[in-house]
Amino acid sequence: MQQTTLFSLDSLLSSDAAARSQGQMDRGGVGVETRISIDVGQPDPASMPMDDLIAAAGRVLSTDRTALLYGDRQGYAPLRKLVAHKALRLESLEVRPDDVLITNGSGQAIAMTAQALVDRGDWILMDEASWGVRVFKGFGTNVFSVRWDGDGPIIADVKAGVAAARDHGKRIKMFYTIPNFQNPLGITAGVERRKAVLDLAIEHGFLILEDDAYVELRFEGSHIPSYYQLDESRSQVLRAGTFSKIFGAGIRLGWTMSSPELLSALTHYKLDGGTSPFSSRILTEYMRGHMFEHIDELIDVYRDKRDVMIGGLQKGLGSRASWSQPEGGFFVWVSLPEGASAENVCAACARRGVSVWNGAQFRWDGRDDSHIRLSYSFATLDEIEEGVTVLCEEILRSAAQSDFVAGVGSR
Amino acid sequence: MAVNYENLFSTRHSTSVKLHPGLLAVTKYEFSVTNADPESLPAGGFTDALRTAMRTQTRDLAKYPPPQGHFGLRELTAQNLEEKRGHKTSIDSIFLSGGAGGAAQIIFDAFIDPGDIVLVDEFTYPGTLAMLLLRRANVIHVPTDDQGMNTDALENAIQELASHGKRPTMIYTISVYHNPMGMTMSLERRKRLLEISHRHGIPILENESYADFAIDDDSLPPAIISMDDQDSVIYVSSFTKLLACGLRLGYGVVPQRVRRHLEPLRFGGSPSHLASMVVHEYLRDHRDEHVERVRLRLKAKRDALLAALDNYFPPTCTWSKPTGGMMVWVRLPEGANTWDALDKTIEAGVKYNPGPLFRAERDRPNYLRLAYSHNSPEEIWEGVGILASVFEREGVFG
Repeated sequence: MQQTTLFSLDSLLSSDAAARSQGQMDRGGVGVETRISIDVGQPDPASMPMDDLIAAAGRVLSTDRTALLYGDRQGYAPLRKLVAHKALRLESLEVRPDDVLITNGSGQAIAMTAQALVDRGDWILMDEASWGVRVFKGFGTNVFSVRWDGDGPIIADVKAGVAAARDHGKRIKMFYTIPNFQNPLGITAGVERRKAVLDLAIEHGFLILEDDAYVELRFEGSHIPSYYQLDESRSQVLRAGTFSKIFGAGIRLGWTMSSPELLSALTHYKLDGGTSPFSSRILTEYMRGHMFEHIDELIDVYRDKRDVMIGGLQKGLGSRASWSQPEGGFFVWVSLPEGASAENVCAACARRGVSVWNGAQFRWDGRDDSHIRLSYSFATLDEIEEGVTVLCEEILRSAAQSDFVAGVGSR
Repeated sequence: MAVNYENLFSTRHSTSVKLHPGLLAVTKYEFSVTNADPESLPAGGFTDALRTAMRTQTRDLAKYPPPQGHFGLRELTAQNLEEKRGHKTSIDSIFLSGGAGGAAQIIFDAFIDPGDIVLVDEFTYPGTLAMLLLRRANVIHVPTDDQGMNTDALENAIQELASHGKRPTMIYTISVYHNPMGMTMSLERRKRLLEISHRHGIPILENESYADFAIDDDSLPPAIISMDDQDSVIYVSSFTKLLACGLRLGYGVVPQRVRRHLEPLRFGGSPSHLASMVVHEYLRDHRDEHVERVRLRLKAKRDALLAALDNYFPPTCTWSKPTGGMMVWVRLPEGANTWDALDKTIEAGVKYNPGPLFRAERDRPNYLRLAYSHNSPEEIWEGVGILASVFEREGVFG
């Protein structure tokens, strides 16, 4: 007899819930245990400043009982002040603590912005490959993908997106973009390009949702002003950042900068009782004394890791493939040689215990079999070297198989 | 030129959920918040737990937490649910969240479209109510008495809706030490509620945030979810009321087929892993002694509040006599307006939650909620005295 299903879930779920099931990451892995992770963009565990952190936590618990109470919805004021201080010191950006909202990681800020602005069927722009794919899949959004060249978003594509929306009787509501060390592309948008995008945003009335998760981790070259900084009105851009990359993802703390009007609209969606006052205070206490020296240390750590990864690709692939040369952040985007299949390469690496990500997962339409995203942030230098060696072998093997098949086919 | 946001905002959401601006004020006598009592948390033991957790789980702090949150804490939660609430569940069914509210929010994200009908207790927790109103849900209050939600009235409401071709999406109830009304749903009502849920195919969202706060006796009926064999109950609760609200930690328990739909939402984003590590470390060794310490402190505070009400409030008022939880629900004579009076009492240093905050229509202004978790027994006595004198002066008592 058929089991009775007493509540019919599908008929009760919200209209967005089904759409979201497409938004998940799939590592394309198999049942082999991962030995080397050069896939996920998470921080280097060896760089966690444990002793200083424990000392900071002890001080907070012994002196500040408010760490244990409900907090301010906008976030712990001294942490907002610290975010402003960091912006001034690292970017010469003046921002008022009142223009900062503390969130549960930058992911929460991005999801809240999507909730506040995007209805089903609305149009947004997104970088041609983007971490944001998995967030926006959940909102029933029409996404127009903006291609990037070596200098950032291609302006003609932004214009084409605006026109395409108009042709459908719609308008672009926002451009979700990652300007620095783009995830996954590993490229940084130049200042002139940013200005041109901003001009279009002002002209056509869309918001720029600037995901600046990696801004602090620039290894070389000079800082490029954020969209937020370039925007004189301070209302065209919502900029989201995070402490996950410079501190640790487990602390779940991020920051958002925008106009008070937009922040207050977002706070409307933040009904979680405020971002953890406990974690906020411990992070603030630690960062007060150590933030800039810790960032400098991390820059050295990640620069070395990047160099090992890029060196390994150079050694293993030479001129057979190409890849981005990130000036910061965590990611390298590898363009495979003609004929190689990213899906096959990922699966082959997984069988050898090396985890890398198929670029298709960052495409809105999921169609791409010729790119792989690597991250050098989490693995050790030795692991990176070994992982990249395996990857290069598998890339060449996949390309050779396709050459062979092509050769057979032509006979 | 500044952006015109008006035509950018989503139209799915209401932007006009009415809250009382006075609630943001800081006052000496805070009867409006159900804060865990900071004094009940021993600094030494908690700091030790923090040190141990950070030493042993350093790598985990660098990484992104698993989507459903800290494994050890979920494991401990599963044990606790079985021991204390009679519910056997898998660790897989549990996800951690930013307070019980964070868990409710992700459930609503999965279930609630604008216009969906949600049946709730006669008065209900303002946080979840605000989430529902924000999503433009059609919230219907069901008459509720000292046994919990009136299941006859519930059945009538469902049939009435059915006669108009409508079916509720969810029944939301706070089944233990109700917020704000104070009672615990009786066993008989629980069974009946579940039977109604099964028969009509309407899931129940059960909120047990206050289950750790028995003051007088320990004999709570088992959780509704523990009696369900049809995957009809979703459960949310909190750790932070017990330990410290600043930790912002709660959890949800969901049937497998609901879980599938929360996965793409990554369960709302894991809460602070640091907080999870510490709570796990501390509760593992100290849970029972901590619950007892909290119980004793809450008992003194509740007794002080009830005595103060007896002493200062006129016989025209009635109030709940809770055997657990953190709040007393006060009914003033018809015509009293606790919403309007709040500004006056704040001037005098006393804050409470006016009754309309617990209603979708913002009606019933002759009720108020007094939470006794924050202030000391002496302050509670003083604060109620001040509150009564302001009410007297402003004619609130009629």
